[in-house]
Amino acid sequence: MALLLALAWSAAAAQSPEERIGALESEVQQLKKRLDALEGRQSAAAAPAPADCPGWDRLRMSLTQAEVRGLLGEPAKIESTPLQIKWNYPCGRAYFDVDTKRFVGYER
Amino acid sequence: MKPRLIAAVVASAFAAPAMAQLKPVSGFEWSLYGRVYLTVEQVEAKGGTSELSSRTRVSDNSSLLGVRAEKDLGGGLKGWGQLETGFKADDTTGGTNSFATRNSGVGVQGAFGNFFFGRWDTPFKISQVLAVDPFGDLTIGAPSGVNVRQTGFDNRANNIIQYWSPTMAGFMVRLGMTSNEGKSDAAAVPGTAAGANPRLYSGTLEWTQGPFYASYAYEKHKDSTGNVVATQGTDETGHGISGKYTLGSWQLSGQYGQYDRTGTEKQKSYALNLMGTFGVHQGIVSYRSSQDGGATGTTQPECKAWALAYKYLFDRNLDFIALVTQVDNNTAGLCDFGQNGVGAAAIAGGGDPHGIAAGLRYTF
Repeated sequence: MALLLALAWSAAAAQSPEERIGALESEVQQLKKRLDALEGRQSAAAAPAPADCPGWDRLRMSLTQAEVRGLLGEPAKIESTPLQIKWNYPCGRAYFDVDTKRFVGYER
Repeated sequence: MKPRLIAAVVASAFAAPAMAQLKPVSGFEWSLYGRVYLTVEQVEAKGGTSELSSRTRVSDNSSLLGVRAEKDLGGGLKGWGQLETGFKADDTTGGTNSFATRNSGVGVQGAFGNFFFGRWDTPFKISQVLAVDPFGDLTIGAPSGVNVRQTGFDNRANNIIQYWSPTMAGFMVRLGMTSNEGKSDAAAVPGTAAGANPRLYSGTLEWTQGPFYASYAYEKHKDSTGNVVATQGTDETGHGISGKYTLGSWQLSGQYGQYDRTGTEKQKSYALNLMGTFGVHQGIVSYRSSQDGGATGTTQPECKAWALAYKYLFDRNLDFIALVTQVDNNTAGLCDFGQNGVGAAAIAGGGDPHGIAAGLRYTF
């Protein structure tokens, strides 16, 4: 047992700082995935990646919500602050002005 | 030590406490939001007893920073809290940079509707001003300096309890009532704060269906003027109707109201607005008028006003506005700009506020 520990320690000591950081980053990623799984969250890597995002290239400023719905379909989730409304899609987020309810931009 | 190693050491030093503070809680969401809205203006008011000469101003138009948090309680129930603070981005005149000066409150929302209390816009303001004003009750172009009894019914009320119903067949109801903690125990002296028991009641019925919006609202200020000045024996009541119709790129909106105050003639006012949005370009034309509302037996106030605006929408965060507005008062006129007015002294005797403005609004 002591021999194994000594071997492991010497192997670790032989690593360059970059290699050790790489190993630590990999370990952090694994831990994040485990945490997501334990808390029932779907990690970004596990989220279904849309093959394409039809409609997004046809978004234009000041479209109505009905027009955006016609292009992108029903949003997966709607969030809002007192100033903006946010429609969440697998491909990104569409934003609307709260007062005019018109499309003002998106993030992908 | 190489940069990457330094970054790793720094990251690990901060990682543990950060994770402890930001541990995700299922069903909890919060957002930080804000607005910075400044305009450069040239304003004047000629024709009154004390004229305001032409001058340049940098004016803040309700810049704000807010935090809103929500927690899903299960069973369709949600608890929420909001703290919103107005910050003057141009200067500190008026000392308004204190915390939670704007819509702030705590509530519970569910299938039954939304019940909350705190400091919040009244139902009357929501349906008669915010829902139909293409300026969003901001800038010198906003109609509220002429309508809703010259901002007297454009209130954000302290200590208000509100209930908003869910929408059923397009209809919803909002009800609000303030506490009367400003009650005076002194002997009543009519026309003063002594003995006043100020309270506000406000309610609205709204209907939304596709491109149509319509509402009726009622508000009563007991023992106060404009829900601001406790005045024993002076009550105010307001009735308003408003509507909005969107057809393609065009939006037509309007508001009409009648306002009673003890000892004055009934005031009547209306506003008509047309807004056109064409991609990144937006134009607004607005006309408003107010009649009467002065002390009984005196010359009655009368005013007419208009505003013309152009907006360029850069993206979801930034837009540019340029506008011109003119208010014409008769000798007893009470009307001013909707926001950042020239003041009562400049209006007295028939002063006519006139202004041009250009500015930027950044929203996040």
